[in-house]
Amino acid sequence: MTKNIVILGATSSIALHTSRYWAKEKANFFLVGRDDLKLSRIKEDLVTFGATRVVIHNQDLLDESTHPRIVEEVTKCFDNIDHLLIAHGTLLEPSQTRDSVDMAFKEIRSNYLSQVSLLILFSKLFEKQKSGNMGVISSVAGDRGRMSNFVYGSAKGGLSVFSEGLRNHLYHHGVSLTLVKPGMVATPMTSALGIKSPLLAKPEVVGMDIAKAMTRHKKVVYTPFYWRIIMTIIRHIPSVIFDRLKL
Amino acid sequence: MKTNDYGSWGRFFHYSHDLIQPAWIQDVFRDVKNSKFDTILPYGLGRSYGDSCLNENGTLLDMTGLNRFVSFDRQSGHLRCEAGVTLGDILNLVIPHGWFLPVSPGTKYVTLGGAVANDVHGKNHHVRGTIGSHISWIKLLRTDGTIHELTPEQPLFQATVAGLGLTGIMLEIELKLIKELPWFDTENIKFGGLDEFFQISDESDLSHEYTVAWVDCVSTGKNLGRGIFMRGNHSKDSSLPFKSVTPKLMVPFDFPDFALSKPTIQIFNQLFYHKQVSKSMVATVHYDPFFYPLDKIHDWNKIYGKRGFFQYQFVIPSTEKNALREIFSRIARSGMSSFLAVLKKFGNVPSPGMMSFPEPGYTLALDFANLGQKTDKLFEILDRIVDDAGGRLYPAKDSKMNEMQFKNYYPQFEKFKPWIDPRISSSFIRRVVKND
Repeated sequence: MTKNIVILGATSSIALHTSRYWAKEKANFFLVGRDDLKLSRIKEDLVTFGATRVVIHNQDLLDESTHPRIVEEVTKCFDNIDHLLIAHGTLLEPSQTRDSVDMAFKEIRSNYLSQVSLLILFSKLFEKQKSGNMGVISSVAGDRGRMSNFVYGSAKGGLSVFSEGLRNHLYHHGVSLTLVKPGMVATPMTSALGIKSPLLAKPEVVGMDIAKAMTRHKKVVYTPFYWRIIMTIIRHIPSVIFDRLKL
Repeated sequence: MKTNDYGSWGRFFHYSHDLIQPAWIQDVFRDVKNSKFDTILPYGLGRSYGDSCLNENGTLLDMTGLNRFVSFDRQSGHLRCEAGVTLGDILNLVIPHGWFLPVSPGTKYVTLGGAVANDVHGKNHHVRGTIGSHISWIKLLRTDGTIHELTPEQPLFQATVAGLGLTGIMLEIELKLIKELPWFDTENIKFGGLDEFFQISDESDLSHEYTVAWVDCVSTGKNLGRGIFMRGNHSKDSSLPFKSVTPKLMVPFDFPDFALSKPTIQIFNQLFYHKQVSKSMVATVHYDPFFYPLDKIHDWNKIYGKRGFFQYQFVIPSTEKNALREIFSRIARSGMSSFLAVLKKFGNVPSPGMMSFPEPGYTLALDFANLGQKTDKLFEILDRIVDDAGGRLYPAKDSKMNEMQFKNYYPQFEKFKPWIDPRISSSFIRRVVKND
């Protein structure tokens, strides 16, 4: 049966590689992003990979007032959603978010509040259909506050906790939720900040991990896999030592 | 953004560049216009060996963010994609639908744009020619902001294929695939010397789409020019799986110099030749080990250590067999030979590319560790033999040729020159064309 997939933040490179996985299975897509030219490039790419039908919807996901409208459009398109992925987000310069209330709020809005709004609205749809899977891209940065990016980290931490709670709730309605925690990924977002690291993963790898985890209805996925080990260590460093480090 | 991270495969040149990394086609012109330096150069995956993919003190335009597909006609095999898509990406997409790349170079970790800019060839050159012969359309952005949709009969198309990225920025490319399976019925045949090679090569080119030889460049005397001839055809057995192998090994750091000492290389060459006991060995092989054996070892170029290495590739007319013998004996005598000496006879399929490297005759590609003056001396000797034989060197591999050589090898440069984009340049072209 042809799967129906909703991707929120569809123009990100991680989202593209996740989408390609289902495109090969001839899925239908509802893509949301805020640039028609980019969305149509993604649409062409997914059709090339085998997608059956791709609907694009231009909407700024950071404006919560538009969210009910998105839900409405999706229901017009699909009777049933198999997978919904929330992939949008921002990464501002960490020193700016640390020093400015405005910037910090902006970061929290785009990485936590807008996702909460979408999760609440879409989870109602899933509750009704009593099936399906939601995927939320959080981050390893949400596992423990570190001096290098704790504003972003706190937003992602909030998103992780919210998603865990929602997963618990949805479980009783036959719906699964996959919480995705990527490490650093080589994307336009990280290259703009000049981030270099041997741990920088390719979006192809992360995108594929996400699609596989969601298809198998996994609860939490670290991607690439080694971040599960790294974060287990980081979470267990005693605060006395942790505070002396510059992580 | 300033960077020292962008090099070429030989790791001989170390240049600093300004970098632009557009993620979308629509951003390319804006980024180019805003770049501070006078000249820019599109950069793919940096698999050129010398400086043809470098632009010292200029801007590099990293094309790998432009890696989306545009369309794939599963009936006709026409594939359109952005220029930063890699040959590996293409194989993964098209193989399950029964299609295959018409031309495969020695690695699948190259962008399609880079493959076209260097007009790459493979083991089937005698049947299919270069990749340029299979390109039906190019969307090219010039730095004045104009966009040109090019087809093979247009001079700008012919300048762009094998144009070393100098004619503009390829945004999208259409490639015509071949309807073939990803497995190969192969045969490896040992040969004792060059005369035997010439004979097997001529016979095999009539019966096999893919032919190439590995030659032992260490042994002298009666073993001079011995090696293993590899030939193959696409398998017709459709029951074999598509599955491809992913890279497993990697070279994590620069090897120390002694790793490539003469005895090590002698042992390697001996082992390779004697690994195969029988005269002929037949097998059905997956495309990954068949075309891309070195892709299994990530960053294998680090084997040559911090000083880097050179690849020397030339073609000489097929009548110049004595020149080829002379070259082999010079290399063997020098004791500087390498792991890889790859010998193949090019066919006469013409390329649309004005500046294309292949021409009918024998092509040999070898790696040499960088030993400074000693290496330079050897190259001087080899260059003279190649020049006298009316041969030429391959810009994609070159780090050393001078202006006089370049203009001798590529007299068509005068015809090509007017098509160079005034804001695009490379370290290579500045090295071989000084007065511009």
